[in-house]
Amino acid sequence: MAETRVSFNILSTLKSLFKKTTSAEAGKKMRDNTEKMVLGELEYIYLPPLKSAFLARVDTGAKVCSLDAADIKFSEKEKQVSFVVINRETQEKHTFKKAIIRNTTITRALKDEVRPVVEMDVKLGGEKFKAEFTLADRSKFQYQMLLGRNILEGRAVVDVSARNMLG
Amino acid sequence: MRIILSGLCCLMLLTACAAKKEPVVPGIVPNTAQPEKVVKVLPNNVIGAVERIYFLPMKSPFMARVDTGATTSSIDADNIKRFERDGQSWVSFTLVNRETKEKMDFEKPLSRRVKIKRTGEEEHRVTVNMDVRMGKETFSAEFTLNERHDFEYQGLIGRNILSGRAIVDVSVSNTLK
Repeated sequence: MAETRVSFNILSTLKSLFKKTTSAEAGKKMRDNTEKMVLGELEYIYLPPLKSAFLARVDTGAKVCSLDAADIKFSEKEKQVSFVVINRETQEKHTFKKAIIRNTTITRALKDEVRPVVEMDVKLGGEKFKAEFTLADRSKFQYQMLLGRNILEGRAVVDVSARNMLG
Repeated sequence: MRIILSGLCCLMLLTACAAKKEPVVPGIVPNTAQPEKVVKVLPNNVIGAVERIYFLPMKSPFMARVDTGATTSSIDADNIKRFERDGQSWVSFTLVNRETKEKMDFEKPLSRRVKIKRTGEEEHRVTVNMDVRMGKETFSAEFTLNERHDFEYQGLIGRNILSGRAIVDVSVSNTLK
């Protein structure tokens, strides 16, 4: 009886270990195509602690995700940035304070623009992770967010004939 | 002895587990899998982030960024000139392959004019229908002619080509020959 219990214990710990490694691997590394989520051309994504979802354009042409941010203020020798994210549909807003990971230069015809890149917590299709976002004024664009290749790589495939695959 | 026995037992159980892989789930356990969201990707219609595209009858392929953010596909073109033929709007242009230097002049009926939205500026560009080949498939698709050549790739494959035809996996590139 004791033996079986011991062996069971060993087994369960081994099993849990195995589970942990696989789920950790699935977090970022290459997944089999059957494990990747399928995204349509438009998907809802959450930016905790904001409760309401943002409809985002899934954009394989974008290297890094882009987020519509207002009141972008630099502080502490430009190492930190505070900005307001307002959900256009629900008007829910939140002020974020983030460290600037780097600045990215957007090439434009008239003048180049320098924009801060920050790391945001996101929730997409039940999966929570961190991803880099370029802060931008997207008020003139139809969608407040772009999901770029930094989120898609190793995690999702895109079928533009569909939308809202994640519900 | 007991330890050895338990170890053996554990091993046997493990191998049995591994052999089965998916343990038999009793009927009362709710099925948490969501089949409608599971990818049934056919390997032959998955394309990568950068792919080759042939503008027929040109012989060498153009490298193109696969861009789900673009409504219409686009291609770099030189000498874009609009002209009239039999009362219709036409456009003449030259495609030059950046890598192979292969060059070809085209004359096509104007399909439509499009407004390109970028922050701070709005541009009007012409679109034409081009015969292209991607992988084994040959088809005609609308392309916007692009006179600015400052992009990393000469072509952009947008949703007008992708929709219903391919699924994009940005983890790979150059899947098509």
